[in-house]
Amino acid sequence: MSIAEELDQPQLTGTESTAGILRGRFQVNLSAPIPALDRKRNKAYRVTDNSYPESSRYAIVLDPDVPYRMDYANMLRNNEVTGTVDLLDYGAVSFGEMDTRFVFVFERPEGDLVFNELEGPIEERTVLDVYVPAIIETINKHEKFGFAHRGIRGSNLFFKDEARTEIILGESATTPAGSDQPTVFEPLESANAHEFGRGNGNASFDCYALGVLIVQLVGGTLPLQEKNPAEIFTQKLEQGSFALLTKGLSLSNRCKLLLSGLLHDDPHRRWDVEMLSKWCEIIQDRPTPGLGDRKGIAPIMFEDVEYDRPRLLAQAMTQKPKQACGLLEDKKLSNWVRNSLRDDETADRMAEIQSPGQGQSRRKKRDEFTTIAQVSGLLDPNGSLCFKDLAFAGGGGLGSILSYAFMTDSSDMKSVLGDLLENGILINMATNDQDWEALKRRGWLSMSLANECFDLMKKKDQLGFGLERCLYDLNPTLTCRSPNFPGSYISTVRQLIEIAEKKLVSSNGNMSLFDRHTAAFIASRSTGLRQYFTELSKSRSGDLKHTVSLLKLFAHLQNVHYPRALPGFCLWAETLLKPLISNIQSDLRREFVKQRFEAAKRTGSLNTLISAVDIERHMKLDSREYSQAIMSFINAERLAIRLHDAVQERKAEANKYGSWLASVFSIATLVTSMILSTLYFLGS
Amino acid sequence: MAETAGKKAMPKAGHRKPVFWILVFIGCGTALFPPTLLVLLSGMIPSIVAALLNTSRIGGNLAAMIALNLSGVIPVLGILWQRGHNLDEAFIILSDPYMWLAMFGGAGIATFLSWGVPIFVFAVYEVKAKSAARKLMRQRTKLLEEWGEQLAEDAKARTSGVN
Repeated sequence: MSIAEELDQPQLTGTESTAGILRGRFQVNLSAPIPALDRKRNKAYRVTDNSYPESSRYAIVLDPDVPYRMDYANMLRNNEVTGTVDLLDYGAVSFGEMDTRFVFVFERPEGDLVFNELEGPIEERTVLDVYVPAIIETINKHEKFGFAHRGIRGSNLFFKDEARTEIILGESATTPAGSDQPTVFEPLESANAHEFGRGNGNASFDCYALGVLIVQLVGGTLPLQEKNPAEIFTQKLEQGSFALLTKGLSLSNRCKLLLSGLLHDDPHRRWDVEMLSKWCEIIQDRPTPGLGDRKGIAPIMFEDVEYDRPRLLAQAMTQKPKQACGLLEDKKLSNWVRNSLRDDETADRMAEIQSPGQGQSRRKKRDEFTTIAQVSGLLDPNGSLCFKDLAFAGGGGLGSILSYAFMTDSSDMKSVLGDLLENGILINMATNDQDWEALKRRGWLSMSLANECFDLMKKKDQLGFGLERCLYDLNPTLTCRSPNFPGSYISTVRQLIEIAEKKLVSSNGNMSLFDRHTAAFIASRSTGLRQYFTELSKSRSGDLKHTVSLLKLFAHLQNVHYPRALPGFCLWAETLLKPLISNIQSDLRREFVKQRFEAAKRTGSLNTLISAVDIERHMKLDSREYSQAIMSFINAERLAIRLHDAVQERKAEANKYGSWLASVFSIATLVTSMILSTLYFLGS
Repeated sequence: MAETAGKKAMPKAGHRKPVFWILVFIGCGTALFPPTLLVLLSGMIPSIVAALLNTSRIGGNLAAMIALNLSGVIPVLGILWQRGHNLDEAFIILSDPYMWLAMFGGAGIATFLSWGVPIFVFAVYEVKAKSAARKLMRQRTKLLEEWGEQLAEDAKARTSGVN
């Protein structure tokens, strides 16, 4: 068993006395919710620490549909990262026979939230001298381990103690990175991305969020809360984040300096952790406040509107792809980029992008979206990838947004994401991108994953492939979303087998076990299964080949992941094999196979069952023998009829043969008579 | 049409050839050994009648008739030759009913054989056919017992499909 599987293994089997306890220590009390600490669909509950009963803990119980940040959680658990709530432990906890959930246990901050809108703004000096250094320290710690916190906001900042002397950031490991953040806290790189597609980001994202947090604390209210995400993104592009967010605020020069560094819209010029660490000392090095998107010398006309900023233009183009393709004709857009933005490299690469031809076909529309996504990526190289009406940032954004599409069961989103993964745009963009640094920075999808998803989408109709497989491949922490296991926390194949076994035993084997989600989950979380899925794809459900391949697949999984008796699976195998066995024509063979099945069923081993029943061989033999029997039956009937009808023929034959016999006898008699007469008369 | 006529004429021509030789034989016999010829012709009357009545249809039977008839006549000819081979002895022999019995007895046996052997052979065939039919029925029943009534339906379907 791998360490990850061991982690995910529920420690308790859910008996009444032990239910809801993580690793024998943390008792999660589902009857004591803490709504204030809820993370959208993930709910917070009170926890009793059996080792330190007087301590204050709380647990976030995960919604199985929401992927968590596994790497980040591992880092927090294995390292001492101060300035954020202490992650004490996490893992799967059994609350009942069939009720297993994934739980994170944190140390609960003793103090309240630092910021309360009703209490008004916090003094700037306190913010800059007390809170900001503490948060910078936390960002710094995170960066050292290669992570970003992605949850720096007013509603996630607590006093560590009741005396309000120390502050800490709340957790951000239980949801996709940045998904809990209000849009205003997201920099331009991810501000237009879907909330689940904002990506892991880096310290620069945290720095920007810190800037917005300062504005929130000093301003006393969440900035731009009356605007919708699209408006916030557009206004940030038009005015620049610094100008937009500090408008109307009375700030000291010191604070303005800090914010102009933190809220810079160009990630290259935004202050990094090193600059932040010594921001007090660099007052002479006053950064130029960002003015939003870069501005061209002359505007370009698109849909009767003049655009002089490339990101704004990219945003407008993604909304009207058909019209946007017109800009590509006659190299109008590339010329504008070359002449107005003075960006020859981008202009050259843009000139290589072909505008899709005329027509109204679905393929042409798809080509339009693909082309515009590429153009938009060139115009906004640091921004999110926009495809149709979806946008996501790098660093796991695509995986999270895919999980959101399945979580909300949005067929539109699934269709868009399916198109995106199968049309090869991600591979194209990765291979065309000569700038490896840029590629790494954006990291929409690694080259290998893009290729893998592209291949998986080629066989999208087959079990174990398609969008579902991409979902699990891109979200390693996601649980199995099969409707056959509602409410069950299944993050490993072992858990899948365990829970399926319980369900199969309780339903006497009459349960649908294998659907697209189960297949994709198994294919993603286990290795060496390609041959089984290839076999499955070649046959239809209910076929002999399909059933045998399915049983072989689960037999393999039993051997590798759960080498114990599985009577429930044997019952399930019985429901699959019974119709096949009843199809055996020979009564003798059928009874023989039945007896062997009954004997093998008791072992609980699918492998033993398969080899004992050997249904394929028996079916083949039976089929061959049945064909032979039919032929024998037909021949016997034909011959019997022929014998019955052939009296005249026999009569004629008998006459012929009889005459011949008589002739032979007569001639023999004649010869005998001649010899005897000769002997007699000549002798006398 | 001419070809068909030619084919029909062929047996007639073939039939004339032995008749010719028989006539030659009779001619020579009349000149060289009249007593033998007298006894021979008298003894072979059944065969001559059989040949004249039915020639081509029962060739096998005619051969049997001639062979057996002749095998009855040969000992009588032997007696004739033993007694001196003259017409008187020939007439004496022909007046002896036992001689007639010996000569016609062979023809009678031939007739009996021609009638009886095919019947016997047919009876043997019938017994064999019934035994084979019984065996086939047993095989059919056994197949149905092993594979069920479905086999009969599938066999019927396949037969009608083939037809």
